[in-house]
Amino acid sequence: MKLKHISLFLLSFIISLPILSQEAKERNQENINVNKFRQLYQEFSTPNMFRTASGAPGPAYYQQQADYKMEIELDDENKRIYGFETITYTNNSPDNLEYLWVQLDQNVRKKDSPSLLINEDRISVAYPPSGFTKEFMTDPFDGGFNIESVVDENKNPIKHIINQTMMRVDLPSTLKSGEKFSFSIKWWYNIQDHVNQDGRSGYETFEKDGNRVYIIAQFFPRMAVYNEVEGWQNYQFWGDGEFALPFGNYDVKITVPSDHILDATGELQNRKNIFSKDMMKRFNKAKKTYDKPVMIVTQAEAEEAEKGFSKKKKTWHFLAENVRDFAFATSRKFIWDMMAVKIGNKDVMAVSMYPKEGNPLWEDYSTVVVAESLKTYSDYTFDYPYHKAISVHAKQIGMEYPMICFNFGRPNMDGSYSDDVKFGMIGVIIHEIGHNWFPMIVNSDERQWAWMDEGINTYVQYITEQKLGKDFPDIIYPLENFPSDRGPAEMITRYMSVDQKFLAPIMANPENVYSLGPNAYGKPATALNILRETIMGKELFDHAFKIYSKRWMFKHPTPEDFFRTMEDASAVDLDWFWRGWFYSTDYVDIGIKEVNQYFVSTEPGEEMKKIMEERGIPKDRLRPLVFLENSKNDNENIKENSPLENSKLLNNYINENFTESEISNLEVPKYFYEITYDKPGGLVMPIIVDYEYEDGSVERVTYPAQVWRKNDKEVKKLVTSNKKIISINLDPDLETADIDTSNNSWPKKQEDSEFDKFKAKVKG
Amino acid sequence: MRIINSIIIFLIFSSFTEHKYYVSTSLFNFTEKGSLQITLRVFKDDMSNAISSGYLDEISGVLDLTKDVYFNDIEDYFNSKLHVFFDSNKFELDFIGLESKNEIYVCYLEVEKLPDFQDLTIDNQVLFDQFNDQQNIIHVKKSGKRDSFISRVNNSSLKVNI
Repeated sequence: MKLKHISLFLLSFIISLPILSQEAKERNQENINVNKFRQLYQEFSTPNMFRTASGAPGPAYYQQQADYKMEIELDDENKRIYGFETITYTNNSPDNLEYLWVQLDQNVRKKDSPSLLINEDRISVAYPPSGFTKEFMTDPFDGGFNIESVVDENKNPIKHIINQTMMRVDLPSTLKSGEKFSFSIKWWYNIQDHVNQDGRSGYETFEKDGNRVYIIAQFFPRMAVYNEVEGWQNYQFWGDGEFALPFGNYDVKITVPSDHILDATGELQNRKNIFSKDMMKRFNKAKKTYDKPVMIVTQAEAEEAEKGFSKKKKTWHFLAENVRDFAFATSRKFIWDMMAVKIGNKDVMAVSMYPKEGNPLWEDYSTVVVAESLKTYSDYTFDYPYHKAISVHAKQIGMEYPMICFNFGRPNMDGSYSDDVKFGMIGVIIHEIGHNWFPMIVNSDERQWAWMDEGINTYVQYITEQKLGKDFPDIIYPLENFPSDRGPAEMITRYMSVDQKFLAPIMANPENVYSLGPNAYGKPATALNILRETIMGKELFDHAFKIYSKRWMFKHPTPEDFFRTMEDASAVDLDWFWRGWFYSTDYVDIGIKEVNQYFVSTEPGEEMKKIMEERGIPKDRLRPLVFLENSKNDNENIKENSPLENSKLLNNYINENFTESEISNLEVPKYFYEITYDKPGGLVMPIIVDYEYEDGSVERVTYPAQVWRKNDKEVKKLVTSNKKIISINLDPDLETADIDTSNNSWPKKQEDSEFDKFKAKVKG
Repeated sequence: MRIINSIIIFLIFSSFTEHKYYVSTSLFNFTEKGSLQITLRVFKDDMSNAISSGYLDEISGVLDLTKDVYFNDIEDYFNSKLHVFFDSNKFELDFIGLESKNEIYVCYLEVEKLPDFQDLTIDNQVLFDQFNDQQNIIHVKKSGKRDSFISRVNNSSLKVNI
């Protein structure tokens, strides 16, 4: 309306004058572009034929393939694995290769492995005798691959050299672009006790019944990745950084004691030889049961089998297509249940394997949680393409492989369990099943960018947990929401407020080991959640996220492919967001610095008088103007009057220029607020404000992040109204990860600290 | 290649969702009314192990330390592991209690009446008995200023200038 425009124009004219009249006292230093909204041209690689500027695979995109045919035997008595494999490596790159790199991860446990020397030792001042002898009187563990032979297709030995956990195979002749090369390796190694030693795989011994549960992974020499980003990814495996692996087809035969129950990556080919008639019946029933798990092996049967210690053997044969790894779990202690899940137009089997020590928690929840994870992850990315997903119970482990994962969550010996144990187990099952998507199928390089699978997966995990809580209120009763510990913006504030010298950006590989778990899991997951809920909105975000997932399904993306795709598919400029959240350690802290209230006054106000003095304008030479004065200077107490009463000029103007009916509909603003928002924290975020008026109404305004583009430190906004504002609240729903909310309110709220609240509760 | 300059990341990076990093954070807040309020955050299972300790018989499961029965044990633990010196004088810390928040215990300790002092030394050895790679991050807030430090097994006693 005309009136509003006039007053706003004048207001901005008058109020902005003092700024213009300031003089620069010093010469500024030369400027380089440090604006937080500058595009990430310098950080990103130039788009090329392999990866486009859109963030998609380009016309020259390639990836290598590694197929494996393996015969594996597990020696239960000696806790050892014997293996023979033939690897067929396809060179799809445009380059000719002289050598190949093979990963020997078990070598991290070799007696003379340097990795044993990189950690500190410690002494304890009291040991139980068993602990003392174990620590000081036993031989070091004899781990690592014992490579017996490396031969070509004609059984001729091939030159190779082992560098700790990497083996270079020197090709007898150049492997040209487009060609394949086959070679075979024979090896054995000792499996380690993953409970008392370290590791993502191994065995656990149950003293009571004398049996072991084996969770086997990283058990075979396997190809390293060769690509146009890193060349050969031949980084050593020190035990912490994870894996980079090519896709391929696996044909694996595993021989174990005949009374073992085993499941693995891939489709079981000889089920009729392995399963009893009863098991086949139950299995066929499970394939058609969608509402609850069907026991394939019951607890009673497992407890019987525990006494067996069969000397006979059985071979399980699996075929897996287009997977990046292979793992299996085997034990005579296993209880086994399965259920069918509809994903798209196919059925996927949700499977759980657990010893009795996992009950009652595991029979109640594991397979159901697997099923829900399959559904939700499929909804947000793409339909799960494999035929099954297995959750295996393992003490103190959370680790993922294609189609099979190992998860913690063990009740007390009497079967009782705390909420923490229950929700911890549900969370880890969701997380590890989720890893099938990231990085098993959207196959990023974990050794370089842990956050690309951990952070992205943790974000979808949060979505899945919340949905599970809504769909299955009984599981979380009496809580109303699933107690996720990562995802919501406010939960990352503590980490982000840690002193800068202890932080490293997500997008850096520092040698500095201050980087904590939050850096790769919590912070990226939270950043994505904020993008979804606050910056982009769910519709735009979910769509772009799906596009990314589908583009890179069964391929190898880099972080830039993700960053580019999210922008490309949404038309939301995100360079400022990636730059702040991923490339820096800045935090969010936005506050209300100052609120000045103005009113229409009869005379020129204090600031106006100053301007008149500076410019030598006498009052009688002033043009007819509507004056606005700061309410602090209301000496005559007229600020509550109607503006039309205070400014005769305005009143006359309206009468002369508006019709009677227009006048009766006019809203005359009485209150003019100039609010200064400041930003003590470096990160740019939108300013989300609730303006609360005296009549109880609340108006939510979101100023986009671009509001900070010209002034990174503070910005002023005007609010005019004919109702008085009684409070202003910044980020009322805690969406921006603001680390300090004490400057988020006007008038300033005196909130009791966490400490005072607790003390009051305890001491009264 | 960039990776030559970059070394593998960190303590945690496995798909262990379980924290494999051993960290606690604490806030030493010097209030306007002349007291010192200490808020210490530790992972529940680490704290439970520390209290039950290898000297006792193995207790299956994780202890619920919010129960009154553990109050004295926790108080003793803090008395032996957390020391604050004002001008070389050690001051007793009042253990008020702890509460559970997600996977963490938030522990509250206090020195109600502070002396006048020049030098402050904090020796935070919480959980050093459990993990020799434990890192304790200490934030100190005084007169509107804020600084942070990190206490490690080889270097636990820190002089604070603020």
